[in-house]
Amino acid sequence: MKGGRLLFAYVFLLVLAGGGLVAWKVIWLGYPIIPSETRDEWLLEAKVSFQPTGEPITVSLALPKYLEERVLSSEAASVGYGFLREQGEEWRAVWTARERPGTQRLYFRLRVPEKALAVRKFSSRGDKPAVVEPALTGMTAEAAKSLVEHLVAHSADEGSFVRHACALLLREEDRPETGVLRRYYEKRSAELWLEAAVLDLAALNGVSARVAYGLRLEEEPGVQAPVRLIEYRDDSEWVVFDPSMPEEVFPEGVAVWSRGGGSLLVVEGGENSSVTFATTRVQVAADVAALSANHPIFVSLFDSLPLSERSVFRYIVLIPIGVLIVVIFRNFIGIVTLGTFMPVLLALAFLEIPIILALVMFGTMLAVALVFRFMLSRLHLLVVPRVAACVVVVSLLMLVFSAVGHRVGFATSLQITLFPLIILAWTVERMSLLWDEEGAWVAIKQIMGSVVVAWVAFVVMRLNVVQHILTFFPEVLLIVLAVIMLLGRYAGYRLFELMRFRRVEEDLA
Amino acid sequence: MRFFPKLFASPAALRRVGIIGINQRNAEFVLPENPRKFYDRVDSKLTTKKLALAASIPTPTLYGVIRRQSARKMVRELALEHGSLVIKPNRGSGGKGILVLTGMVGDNYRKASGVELGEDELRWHISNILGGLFSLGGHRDFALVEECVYPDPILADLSFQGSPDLRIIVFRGYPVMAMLRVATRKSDGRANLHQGALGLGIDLATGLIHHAYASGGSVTEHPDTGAPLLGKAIPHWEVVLPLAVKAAGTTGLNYVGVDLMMDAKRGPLLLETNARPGLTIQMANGAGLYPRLKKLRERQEEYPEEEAEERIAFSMEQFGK
Repeated sequence: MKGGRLLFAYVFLLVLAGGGLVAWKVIWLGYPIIPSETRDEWLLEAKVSFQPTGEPITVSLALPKYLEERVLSSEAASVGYGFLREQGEEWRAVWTARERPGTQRLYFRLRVPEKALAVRKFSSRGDKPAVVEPALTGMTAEAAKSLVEHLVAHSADEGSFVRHACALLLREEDRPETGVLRRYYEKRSAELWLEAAVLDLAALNGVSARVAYGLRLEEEPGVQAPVRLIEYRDDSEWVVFDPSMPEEVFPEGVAVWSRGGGSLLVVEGGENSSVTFATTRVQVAADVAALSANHPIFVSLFDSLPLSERSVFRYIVLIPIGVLIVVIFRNFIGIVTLGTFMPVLLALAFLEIPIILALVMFGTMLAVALVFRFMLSRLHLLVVPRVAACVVVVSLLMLVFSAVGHRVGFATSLQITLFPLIILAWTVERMSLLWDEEGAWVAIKQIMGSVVVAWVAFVVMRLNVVQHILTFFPEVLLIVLAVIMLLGRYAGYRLFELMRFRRVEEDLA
Repeated sequence: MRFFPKLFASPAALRRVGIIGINQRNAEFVLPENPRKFYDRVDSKLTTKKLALAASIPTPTLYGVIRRQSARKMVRELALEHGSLVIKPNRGSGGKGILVLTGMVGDNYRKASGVELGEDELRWHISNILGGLFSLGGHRDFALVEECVYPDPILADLSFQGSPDLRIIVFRGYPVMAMLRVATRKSDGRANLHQGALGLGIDLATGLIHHAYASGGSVTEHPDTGAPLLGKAIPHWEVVLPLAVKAAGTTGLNYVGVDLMMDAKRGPLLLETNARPGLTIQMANGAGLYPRLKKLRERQEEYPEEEAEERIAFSMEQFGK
């Protein structure tokens, strides 16, 4: 047959290229074919609560800037607040609102790999910040001076000086000066005396030190107060340690939340404010972890992308699989769908929204749009305005869905993005056009066919193995292309045709 | 003995009798035989009609073309002048959007079913056509106003309301298979097979109906009228095949479905041509298309210069009973 040999040549080349790249990556670069290993991730949640005073509210919460590159996902839940993220020297979450009644709670969540949280030292560009001498007088000044002298004599560098200062202040009985200092600083702040004293002693010796905040990584759910930490400037980097355990290595199971000297929380227009943390451990397949980002760009396409692009990438590589399924269903089984691409888009929407909810939304939107369409058809409107009116109704319906979802509390667990909503709305539009053109039966048949195919595509696209392989071996798409090209030569009967022609066979028998 | 109703035909058995499926029709006949650039000739009824006129093939007379909403006055004048007319979308498919007006009742129009149609409803129907509601892909369209065809009484008697039409598949200038589609109560006056109409297979050599098919299976008489169907002769059969072959020749396509209507006075008129003719014609005839198409392909390659009369004679001789 004409073209047959050429086709097989193309198919052969595609399979060779795709399969070869996969083999190379697996055998020489050690990419895992099956997503078997798991990796630990932590879900960190900061909760801010306060009582509004009635003035306009601005809440600013320090965030872990050092995690910026490693954050897998983050979200801010805050009904009724404007939210923005300041991304300058510091990284801060800022909520604003005009007036809110009752106790306010704001949440910020981060999902990060465990490895990313083990950072204790932070390289610093620029010079050491200038140190401001604390204004101490009388006995306090004397005691501080004497203690600094003792500490300088007994320490080798900035680190040992600051840590030693903490240890001395905690063990009051060792030296008389510590008692004087402790009483002085306790009078200023019962809670923060240790940090204040250490920072002042460091300043007297010309060492830069600041307060930092951390949280304990606890697997058991529970609320915890922020852990106060101190960071000091080494020759080249900032080192964080826990002042309550100065002589120890930084404890495992504590992660730094914010550093850099800024305050953890600033609330304007509110009082009795506080920050608490909650942590959860999540185990996930070690897709990303196993790979080195140093490979050439075509090897690790995925790794070369910034985080925000990766979710888009995941969808893009799934689309061809969906199309393959559409081909099988249409040309081998004979199910009719609304266009070729629509079931794939619908399947993508299902991936974004929990499927039951998606089906309920879809069904409701279809039903309402159709009822509305019948109402409109009595008015004898022109075609385009009629379709446009349907789209407006669907948009309104989507607004209602989002608003209800927010109220009911889906907002935090489920983010209905614009993308699946547009797909649903577009489908409704096409469906109502088809209903006009071809009649109810054809429209229902096609919509049912589309949903069935979309569901199958969704089930396949959701498979962990499929997602893993396509994400890390995008070259598999060359093989998918080859398969689709081969299927394109299928000239045999469709399954539904065998049903349609069953009488003929009896006739002729 | 079978205890369960048979759900699927065996592919081997279908292949043995040469039934072709959609995939095969597209892969082996529609795609390679019908150049895309000529599709406008079959998709646009106005183009089809112009080509037919140039080749002196009879078609229903074109009264006018409606391109704007404001053409209602024209419809009124035409209705007064001719008594009856048909308004159809230029790019409609499957008989959608066709409005048959058989006369006027005061200021209103009368539809074929006897129902009256107001000025307002007519305007809406025209706006639907112009808006592309019935056209492929929903593109803007225009409407044709045509002579209303009154079917030959012999064929009209076979149908439960509606007008029966003839479908002839022509391949590389050879007639392949023919059927007559007649409406039933179930198909609501339409001659559309998957809406319940009957497909009657026609013997190419004699023009006699030799097989009848309803969606449930083979039948011998009309389910509504009880009229016997087998053995009925299609009037003017001697001119039907030459007309179909000539019409297919104007399209530039090699695999064409030609639709004709048998007017009581004027005989067969070309309605439209189709680049992707359906497969039900096989059921109507109780025969597969493939053996015929294969034979015709070989014949055409062997005698590429054959004249129309010779091609028709060949088909009649080969495929007649």
